Amino acid sequence: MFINEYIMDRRRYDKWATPKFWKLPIFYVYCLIFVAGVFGWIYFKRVGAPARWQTIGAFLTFVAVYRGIFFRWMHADKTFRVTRANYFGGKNWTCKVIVGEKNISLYINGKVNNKVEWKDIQKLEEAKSYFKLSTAEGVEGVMLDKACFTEGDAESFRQWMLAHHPKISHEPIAPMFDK
Amino acid sequence: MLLALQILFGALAAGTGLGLILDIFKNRMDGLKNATGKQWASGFAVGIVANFLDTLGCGSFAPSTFMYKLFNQIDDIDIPGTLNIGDTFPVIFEAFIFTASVDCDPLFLWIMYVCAAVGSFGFATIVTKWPRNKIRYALGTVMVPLALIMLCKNTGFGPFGVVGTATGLTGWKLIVAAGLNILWGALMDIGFGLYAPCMATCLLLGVDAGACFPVFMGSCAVLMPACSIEFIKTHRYDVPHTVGNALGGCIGVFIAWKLVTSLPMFWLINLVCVVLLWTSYTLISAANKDKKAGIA
Repeated sequence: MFINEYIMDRRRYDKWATPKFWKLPIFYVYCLIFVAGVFGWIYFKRVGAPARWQTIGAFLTFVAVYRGIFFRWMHADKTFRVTRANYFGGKNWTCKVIVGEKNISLYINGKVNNKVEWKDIQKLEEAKSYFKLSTAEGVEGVMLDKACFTEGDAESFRQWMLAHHPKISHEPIAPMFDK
Repeated sequence: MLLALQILFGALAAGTGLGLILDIFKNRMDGLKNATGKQWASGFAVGIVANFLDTLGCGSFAPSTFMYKLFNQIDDIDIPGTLNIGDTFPVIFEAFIFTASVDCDPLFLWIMYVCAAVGSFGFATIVTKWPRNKIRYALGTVMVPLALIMLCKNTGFGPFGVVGTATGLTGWKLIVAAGLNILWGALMDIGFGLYAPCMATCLLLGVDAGACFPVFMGSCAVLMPACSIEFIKTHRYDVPHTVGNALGGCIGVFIAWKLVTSLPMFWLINLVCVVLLWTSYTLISAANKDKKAGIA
């Protein structure tokens, strides 16, 4: 019915797995921690407080920058590189998604990897450049790149979903993942 | 003003680990309600003892695993997740109370933390191809002379000079320490503890024994939440043991902190040397065990 085929490379994986950090509410908490850390670091130094208190200021600024900005990207990037090294001989892998009437078949490097039943799909989330068919847990999902349909296209897929699976809710993806 | 800021900082630093505990309560309330008294007792006991040892630099994973198997209150499959999630909070607590009680150069700490993170995230794919046993033998063998050199320095014996009293490092020493912390951070990805080698590095480069503690504890604290995420997502952890480990662990850390900060420097360095020798023994015996089992 619809076939979507793409190469899973580092750029694509990071794009799909990493949220825009500035759109996450927790980022603003880390901004506050960063400001407090920098202020404390300078203030403790000026009033001659023991170095240990300056150090806690430094510790907080580090935590804020590391957790607020870099952590999610670093974690996703590491996961991709370790997966590629351990399971695919250090090479990017090809994903093929066949969206059929009965189920969705997933192929990796030409071999069947998984079959997902339509009853397990809870919602169709749409981002600027891809679709995500989310399962019950909401953690896992089938990813379809809008530019990588080899049979059908993004617009006809959207229309088909609305016509054939009206019970599956169609909604925009969370803003931090809208890429 | 000063006191208010100090309290605020304490709360903020402690709060960095609270998200993990909240996750447990949010996702696994059923496991929490159905837990038996024996499970709670086992979780707390293991948390206190293992994190006491951890604070001294001995590591907590090996003693925890040993005690979990002894008490037999947890499925083996849940042990890695329970250790990773449960130990995160005590490790952050460790980093905070040692940072707040020991003078250490903030910039030096920043650089060491960044290097540990770069090592763990940037070199994961490289170190997973390294021969684990050979590294164990190499590190285990190097630890012995390092411990002996530190003992000589501490007692003023031989040509090694005296123990360092620096609260931070600069110049070539900082470059060496930073480079090695990248390596220790990377080796964490294949199961090597960061504490002992990081402690040895700092001590040999002239850092005060007390000031080493926030360096290696903070380096670990920033890396541990990364390991926890996957276990939380897949629910592969035991709730009472995780909570027991997290809370009991903080008690163990507090007791060890009182011990470490009350020890005279001479005895603290001797304790560090014992830890280095113990680490050497555990590395070599683990390597021998794997060698016998035919694991490279």
